[in-house]
Amino acid sequence: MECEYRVDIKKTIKNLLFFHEPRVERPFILTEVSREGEYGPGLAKAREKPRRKKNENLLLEKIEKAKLTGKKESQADEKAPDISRQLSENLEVIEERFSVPLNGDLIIRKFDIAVKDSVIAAFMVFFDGLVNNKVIDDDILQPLMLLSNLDIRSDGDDLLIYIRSHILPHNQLKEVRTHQEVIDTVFFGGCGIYIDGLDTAFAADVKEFPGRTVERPNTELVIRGPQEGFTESLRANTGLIRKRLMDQNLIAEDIIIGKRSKTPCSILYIRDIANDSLVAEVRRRLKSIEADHIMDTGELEQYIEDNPALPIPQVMATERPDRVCSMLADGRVAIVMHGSPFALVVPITNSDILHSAEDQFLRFPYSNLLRGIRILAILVSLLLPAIFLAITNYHHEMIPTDLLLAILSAREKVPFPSVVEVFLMEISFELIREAGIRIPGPIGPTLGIIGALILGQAAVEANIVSPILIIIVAVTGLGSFAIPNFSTGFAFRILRFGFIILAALSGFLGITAGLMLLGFWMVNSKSFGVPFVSPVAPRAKGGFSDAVFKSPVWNQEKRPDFMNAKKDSKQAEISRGWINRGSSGRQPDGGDRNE
Amino acid sequence: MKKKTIFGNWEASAIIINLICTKIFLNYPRLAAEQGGTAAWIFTIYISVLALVGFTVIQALYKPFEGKDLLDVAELAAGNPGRIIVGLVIIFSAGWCATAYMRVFSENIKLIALTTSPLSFVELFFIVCLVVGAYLGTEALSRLHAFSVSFIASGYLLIMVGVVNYIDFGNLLPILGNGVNEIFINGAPRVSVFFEMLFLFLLTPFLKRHGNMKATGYWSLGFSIFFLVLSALVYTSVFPYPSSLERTIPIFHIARLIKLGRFFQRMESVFLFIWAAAALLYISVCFYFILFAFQKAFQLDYYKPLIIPFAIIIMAVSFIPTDFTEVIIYEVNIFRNWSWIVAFVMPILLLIIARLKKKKPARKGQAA
Repeated sequence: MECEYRVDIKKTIKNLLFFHEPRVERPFILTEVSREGEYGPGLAKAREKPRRKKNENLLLEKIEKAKLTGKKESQADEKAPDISRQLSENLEVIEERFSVPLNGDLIIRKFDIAVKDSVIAAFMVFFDGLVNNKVIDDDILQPLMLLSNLDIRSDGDDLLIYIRSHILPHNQLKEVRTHQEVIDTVFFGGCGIYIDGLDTAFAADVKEFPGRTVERPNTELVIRGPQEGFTESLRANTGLIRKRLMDQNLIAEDIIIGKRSKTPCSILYIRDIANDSLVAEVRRRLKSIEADHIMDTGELEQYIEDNPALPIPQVMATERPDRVCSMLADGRVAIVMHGSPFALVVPITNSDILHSAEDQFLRFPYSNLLRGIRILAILVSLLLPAIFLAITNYHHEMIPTDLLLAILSAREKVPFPSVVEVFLMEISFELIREAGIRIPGPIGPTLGIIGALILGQAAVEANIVSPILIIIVAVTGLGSFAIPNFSTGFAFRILRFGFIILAALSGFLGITAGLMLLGFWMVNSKSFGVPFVSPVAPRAKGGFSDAVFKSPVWNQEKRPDFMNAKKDSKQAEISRGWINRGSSGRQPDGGDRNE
Repeated sequence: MKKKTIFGNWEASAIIINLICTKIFLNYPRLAAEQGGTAAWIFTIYISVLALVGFTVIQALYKPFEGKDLLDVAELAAGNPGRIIVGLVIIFSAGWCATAYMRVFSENIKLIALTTSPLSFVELFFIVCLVVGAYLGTEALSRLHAFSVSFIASGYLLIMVGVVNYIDFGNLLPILGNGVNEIFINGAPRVSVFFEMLFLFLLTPFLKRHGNMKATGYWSLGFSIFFLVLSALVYTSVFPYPSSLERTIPIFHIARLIKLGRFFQRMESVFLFIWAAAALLYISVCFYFILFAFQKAFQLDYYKPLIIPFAIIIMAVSFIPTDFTEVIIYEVNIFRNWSWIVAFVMPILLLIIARLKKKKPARKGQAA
């Protein structure tokens, strides 16, 4: 172990001191889409190919080809039909794959089907607790066991077609040729039906997961607007989106993530709006994940984000279907995962994290007031303690004399330097916040009282901190709570400590240098090929109507340019047809402006 | 595989505007007052016209060299030696800008806010920023400029508006200040104030089309001229001529005058934010161009290994002048008197030679 450790240190020092040829990297850049109406990832690939010069990256191509053929072969192996016509063989395979009898909740129900004077053995397999027993009894077992005796008029002799067409009335029935498909269905709340003499099984969707029903979202509460939030069920979540977005081009592509967990996910996008290369990139990133278990979109986000080190999130996690819908309508792509009440939406820019779900439903002056407050909240949350430190340590002249005297007299008996004081209070505040989340519900209010007592009165009376600092920390706390995005709140909490250190080192110069470095970091970041500080840097057309401040909803005619969507405009130039009384409406929008 | 970076007119204009206008926070209004007297604003307009003429000539000559930077043009004009010599000239000029500004800004910040901190400590903040900027490259630099320059400009305009009640147009008299000779004859070399236009000719490959370069040049010159004239006008109209020659940091002294009621009387520290931001961006860009020119002049595959050594050199060189005044003397009396040759004459000569060389083989071809 020790030897390995030494080697690592050597390697690190070597890496720091010597230059290494950069790795061949091809970052994803969201390019402009070509023609409307052409779909599928194949088109993007076809466009990319001619750009490559002759003999360029031959090795890379070879590796890619080898990988592709390898993958195809393995996929072909997986998909080769392996269901036997012998029922006993199939039963053996199923028992082995499901570890019978170790798995107590697996039900294998054997039964006989009487079809046209002959009796055929069959069995079905499902997990107790994942299925609706009534559906199994009424729609699958009863028809197969009892109704198959009825004299049904049928011309064909094919048993498979006969059962599918005449005996099984269940509405979601799939014919599958591999055991793996049956197993995947069973794990996702379905049941597999094997019939003797058939090399095909039936996979019926009979799921009824235990879980909560649709409730109000916990983290994105609004006063105006829908009050429904996602649940932990994939289909309920996709249903909530489809309920709002009744667009025939809304696609919900299924994808399985996690080698062992096999968590079902859906990639949602509007086919004739979302950029093909963006959809292909989302698909590529999701398919490339080689992890055993992924339980939540919180984990998934970390696998697919562009810059893991950037504190600010580059993927929007939301539990509001209405928010997902409006982002899909902009040409973005959503990922919904079974078991997670948060959907991920990509790409996002830094202005998206400033918006709340309610902004869309409020009239634009109200939204703009809230956005202004949020910008202030971000600045306060990020910089207020640092600015306080900088002013008290380096720029006293900024403080008006009366206030300066008040601060000095308050700090007179405090033994610590102001930087220690700030750190003490900030860490105490973070402790209270963390304890407040972890503490069991009934004790919660007690914590508030303890926190208020310790942080407030007691600390001041004991001359450990000055009263003005209590105000600073409290306002900072309020600022961080006003940030609408949960992850962004975390980001600014982390960065705040950096700014406190910089301010303690060199006042406003340190803060400015910190802002510059943060700026460099942010402008260099991308979210799924979209520069993170768009539409400001780089400047993009159409993005400003709802970036920092919001223009009236009827004035937001274009989709942001940086989305490179297939359709630029999202509403007519005159979306309020009534303003042009008696005309067909070809003048520019904005009735007030025209008058 | 190298990624081709292309950025828009606004990003490029923001870089050039910041490069030209940072000197407003440093010493430009005083330089203008020294040269033009009470006619500092006329002097500024005069050198601006000269810069516009210079740029118009250069951009017209540049037309056949679309997408080529000055080093490519130098190579066309005088082969490899030409490219290396021009590269070295750019390295030394950008190197001077970076070192001088780093020293002067650090000294000024030390003077205003960090009185007890050692100079090397103050410079460390600049060094960290320029190293990070250089590592991330032009794309990040241009985007950060696009984002920050509007804030810096707004802050600057607020300062100008804040002292509006101190403006006394009587201070602008006599109208021709130090005299026609001083302004129009001796003042002409001061067009070197626009030396930083040179960097636009290094940005051409990133702007792709000649039209973009032309638009960027005129836009950035337009904004810069407005800011420079405004600074000279406000400075000389707020401070009477004799006292305007004594201010070490002109805009800082203007900002000190701002009073918004009884409570907000000392707003100059807020000015430190935009001042430091402009300086950090300026030095980062100059440093990047040093590396860019070095890489291109010596045809290196990568510039990143040069970052740390060059950063150390820049920091070390900035300590060479014995004091703040010495740097200002070199900067104002030498660099801002002669750098017009590098910024305007050198590109014009190179472009003419390159054009002639380009035409020669064509003529030979026609004759055959």
